[in-house]
Amino acid sequence: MRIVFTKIGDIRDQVITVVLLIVALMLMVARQDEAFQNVRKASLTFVSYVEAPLSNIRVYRSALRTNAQLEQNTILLQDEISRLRSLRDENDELRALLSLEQTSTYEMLPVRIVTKNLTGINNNLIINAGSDQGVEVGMPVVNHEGLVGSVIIPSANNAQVLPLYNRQFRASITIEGSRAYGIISWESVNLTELLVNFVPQTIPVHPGMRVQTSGLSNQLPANIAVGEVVRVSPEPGRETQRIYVQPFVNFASLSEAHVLLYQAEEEILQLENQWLEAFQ
Amino acid sequence: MKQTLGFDLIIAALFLLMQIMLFRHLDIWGLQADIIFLFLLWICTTRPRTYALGIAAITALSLDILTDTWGVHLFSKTLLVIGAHRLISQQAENKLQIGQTFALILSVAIGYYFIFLLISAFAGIYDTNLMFIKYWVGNSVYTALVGVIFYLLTSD
Repeated sequence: MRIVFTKIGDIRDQVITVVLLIVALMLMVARQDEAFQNVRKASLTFVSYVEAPLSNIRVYRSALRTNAQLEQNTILLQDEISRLRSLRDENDELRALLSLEQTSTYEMLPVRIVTKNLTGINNNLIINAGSDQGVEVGMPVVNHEGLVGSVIIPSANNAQVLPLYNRQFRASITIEGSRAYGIISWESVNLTELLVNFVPQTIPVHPGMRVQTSGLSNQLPANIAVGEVVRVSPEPGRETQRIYVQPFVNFASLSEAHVLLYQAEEEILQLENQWLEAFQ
Repeated sequence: MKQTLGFDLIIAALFLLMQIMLFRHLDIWGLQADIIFLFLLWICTTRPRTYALGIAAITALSLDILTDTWGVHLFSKTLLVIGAHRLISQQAENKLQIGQTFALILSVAIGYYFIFLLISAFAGIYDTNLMFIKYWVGNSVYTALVGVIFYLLTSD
């Protein structure tokens, strides 16, 4: 192949070339001038109209790429979610056990629910541990969710438990986030709500607040989780409010629990007895 | 002559639209193919130099307006036509093979892009100081490859 370089031989072509190059240089220099900006704006507007129909294609093209990346991310996230769910379940169990151990300074006796009667007004539970295992009247029964009830009648190897869903059950509680104290009981209306009384209306209570034992009654130790406030209404004719609480413990699936080997303070019991004797 | 000019202007307009709407966005690592350059090479193969200069001026100026480069394409493409017309027109008489066509387009493209990038740097339109070699060689090769594809599609 023989390469022949072009020679500028034609005067006409030379002149045209020089003119065009001068025009080009003038355009380059003048493009920043104020007077030229309107022309540039007009050209940009025209280009934007020309390119507008293709913008959707570009968006589609980028969307395909983005979609592929998102699909890949989704697969990775699904895998991670599966692992996290497994870890969450394990963590919940461990936290529940750890929390229970941390909040309790009492020995715990693991028990199994032998009988569960939650169909009538006199609801009760029977556990497979009694006085031979150190179970005494008044000892609280708990599980990892919270308070189940308290021992009411111990036998040698079994004990009857007064659950939260019993009209005779009473406990002093406090509402988390406030210094309000009240008495929790069951109205026997349903098996989903308990009622807290004697909390003044001046105390702000909202749904979602946690309710736990106060320890004031000298029957149950403090800080055992009981339930969560679901609704509040003023007590008619009184300055207190009716606080409805949903227990944390799921009695329907309850099958195992622990008995806290808690005993009331002897000094407090003596003072209570002295107070009663003084006014009798 | 008028029919030829009209046909060429229509082809030029189509190439302009393709460049603006398509090839400007088909970049590979920031490199672009210049099909107006290829169009002008084709004009050089079949048309006289003066005529080619006129077509180059129209298309380059239009491209400058559409790409907001104002004079850069006009300058470099004018030099392309005036400098490469004889070479291209003479080689067009031979039946070139694909490799020869690629080498011819690449050699002309290297010269063209050298001028184009220099004048771009002069005009302050492109910051070509750091990536000069990449744009120079990359754009030349990319454009030569597209030119070979066009050559394959248009030759019998």
